[in-house]
Amino acid sequence: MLDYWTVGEDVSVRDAFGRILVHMAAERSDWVLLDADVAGGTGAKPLVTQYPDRVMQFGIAEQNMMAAAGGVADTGLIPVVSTFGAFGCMRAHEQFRTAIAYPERNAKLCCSHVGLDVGPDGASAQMLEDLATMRAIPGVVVISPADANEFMKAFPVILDHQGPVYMRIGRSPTPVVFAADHTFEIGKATRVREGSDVTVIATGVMVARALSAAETLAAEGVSVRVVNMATIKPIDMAEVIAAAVETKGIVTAEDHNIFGGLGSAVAECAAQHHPAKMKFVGVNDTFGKSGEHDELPAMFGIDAKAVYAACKELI
Amino acid sequence: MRHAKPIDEAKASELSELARSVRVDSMRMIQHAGSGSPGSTLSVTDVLVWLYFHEMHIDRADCRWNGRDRLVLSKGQASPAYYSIFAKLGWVSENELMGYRGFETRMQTHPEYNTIPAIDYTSGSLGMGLSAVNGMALAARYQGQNDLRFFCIMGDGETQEGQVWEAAMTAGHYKLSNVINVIDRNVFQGDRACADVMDQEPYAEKWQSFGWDVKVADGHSYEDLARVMATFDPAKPKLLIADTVKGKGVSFMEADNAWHTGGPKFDQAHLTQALQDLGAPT
Repeated sequence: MLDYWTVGEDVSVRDAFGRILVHMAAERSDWVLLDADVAGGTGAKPLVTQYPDRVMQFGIAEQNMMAAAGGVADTGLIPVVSTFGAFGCMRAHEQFRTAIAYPERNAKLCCSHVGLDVGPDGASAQMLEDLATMRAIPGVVVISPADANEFMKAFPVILDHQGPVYMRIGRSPTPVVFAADHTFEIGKATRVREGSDVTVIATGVMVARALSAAETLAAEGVSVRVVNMATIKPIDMAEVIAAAVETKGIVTAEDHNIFGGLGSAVAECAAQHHPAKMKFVGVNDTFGKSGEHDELPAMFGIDAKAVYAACKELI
Repeated sequence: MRHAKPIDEAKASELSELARSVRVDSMRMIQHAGSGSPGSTLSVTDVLVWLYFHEMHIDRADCRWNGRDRLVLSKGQASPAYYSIFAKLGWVSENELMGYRGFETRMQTHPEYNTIPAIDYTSGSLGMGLSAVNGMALAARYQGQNDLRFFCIMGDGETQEGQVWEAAMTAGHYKLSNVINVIDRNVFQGDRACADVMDQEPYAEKWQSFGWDVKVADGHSYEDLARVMATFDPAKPKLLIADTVKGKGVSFMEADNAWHTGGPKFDQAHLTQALQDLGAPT
C-alpha cells in the first residue's frame, strides 16, 4: 500500500521519488535505476538500500551512463536514469538525444536539482534550461510535477508510456497540492482553481505559489484560474485555448528561464490558436546564485508576489 | 560464455572472397554517393566479415534473434561495409545498397536503429558505442542471459572521445568479460595520423590499467583474428586491437589519408582502378 502525503504538508519531491521507486521495485521487475553517484541527492537512496540489485551504478560519468541506458533499453529492460538536472539535461544532452530519443528508446530520465530549487549549491547546479533543452528534442515527453503526490502518480504512468520521458524531481519541501485521489495523465492539465478574470498556468513548485497569489487576488475581487501544466510536452492545447478564450489573459509561472520552457510552450500554442495577452513569470534570462529555497524566489522574481504582480498587470 | 571459433584454410578463403565482394560494394556505393569514408570502410571490412560470417552467433533467418551476439558499429562512418554484409546475409535487399547517403533510403550515412532491424544501436556520434554495449551487457547480466557476447567496433582516432574512457572504466569495474571492444587501428583519423592529431598510444597499457585484457591481431588475417580471440582472459573485458591499413585493398587508397573521405575526386577513373584492384568486373 502506497502512502500519500496530506494536502498542505511541506514535502520534498525527492522523498516521493524514493518512496515510489521502492514501491515499484516490489511491483515489477522490468526496470532498473541508473545512478551516477548521486542517489543521496536525487532521493533514490531508499532503492539503493532496499533493492541494490535494481541499481546500476555508473560513477561520476553521466555521458557513459546515458548512452549505456540506450543499450539497456535495447534488451527490453526499462532504464530509469537519475542524476542532477545540469548533468542529465546538459552534460549528457547529446547522449540523450542520439542514444535515447532518436532511436525512440523506452528510457526515462528523472532529474533532481532543477530550477533555483537547488539552494546553496548555486548557479552551476541550478538547472534553469532543462525544460527548453529537453522540449527541443523530438518525441520526448517532458513532465514537471507540482508536488510529491503528483510525482508518485506520474511515475508508474511514465513507466507504462512507450518512449523517452524526462521528468523533474523537486528538491526543497514544497506544499502538497494534490490529494491521494489525484489522477495523472500525460498531456492533461489540471485546473486547480476556477476563475474568470485571468489564468495562471503554472508548473512544478510554482503551482502552490500561484494558488497563494490567487488567494490574495480573490480578496481583492479578482477571480484567478490556476492551471497545473504538469506536462510541458505535449502541452494540453485545449486547456491553453480555454484560458485564452475564457479569461482576459494568461500568466505562465515556472522555476526556469523565461525562454524556452513553459511560457514559450504556452505562447506557441496561444499564438497559433487564440492569441492572448501574456505575462511570463520565470527567471529573467540570468544565472542563479547560492541561497535558500525560501530566499531565492523573491530575489529572482518567481515567488507568489511575482505571480500576483503579473496578474495585476494583465487585468 | 561462448568460445572463440577456430578457423581453417577453407573458411579463411571463403571469408576472403566475401570481403572482396564487400569492398567492391562499398567502393561502388561511396563513388555513386559522391562522398563517404572509403579509407575507414576498407580498413575495418575484414574484421566485420570475420565477425558476421564466422565468429558471432547470429541467425540469418532472424536478425533480431534474442540469442544473438550484439555488435555496435561505433565508427558508424564505415556503414557501407556494414550494409553490404547485411545484403549478403539477406537482411536488406542488394537493390538498396546504391541508395547509400541518398534521399529516402535506409542506407543512412551512419547506422540508425529503427531503420534496418539488424542495426543494434544508432551510431555516428563517435565515442558512444562502448557505453551502449556496457548497458546491454549489464542488462543481460540482470536478466541472467550469460552466454551472449557484445562486440563494439571503434576507430583509433575515436578513442580521443572522453566517453570512451568512462566506458572502459565501467567495463573494467564490472568485469564485463562478455564485452569485446575492437579498435580498428589504421593509425589515421580525419585530418592526419592519429599520433599527430592527439596521440593515444600506448593503447595496450592504458586499457590494461583499466582492467582489460588486451591483445593485438593482424586485422586483415582471419587466422590471426581467430587465434588471438581464443587467447583472451575469460574473466576480463577484452580489447582486440586490430592492426589494419586504411584503404586496404585499393592501391591508391592504401595508407593515403587523402582517401579518408571520398568526394569529387573519387571519379569514374578512380572507381575503375579500385574495382580492378579488387578483381571485380569494371
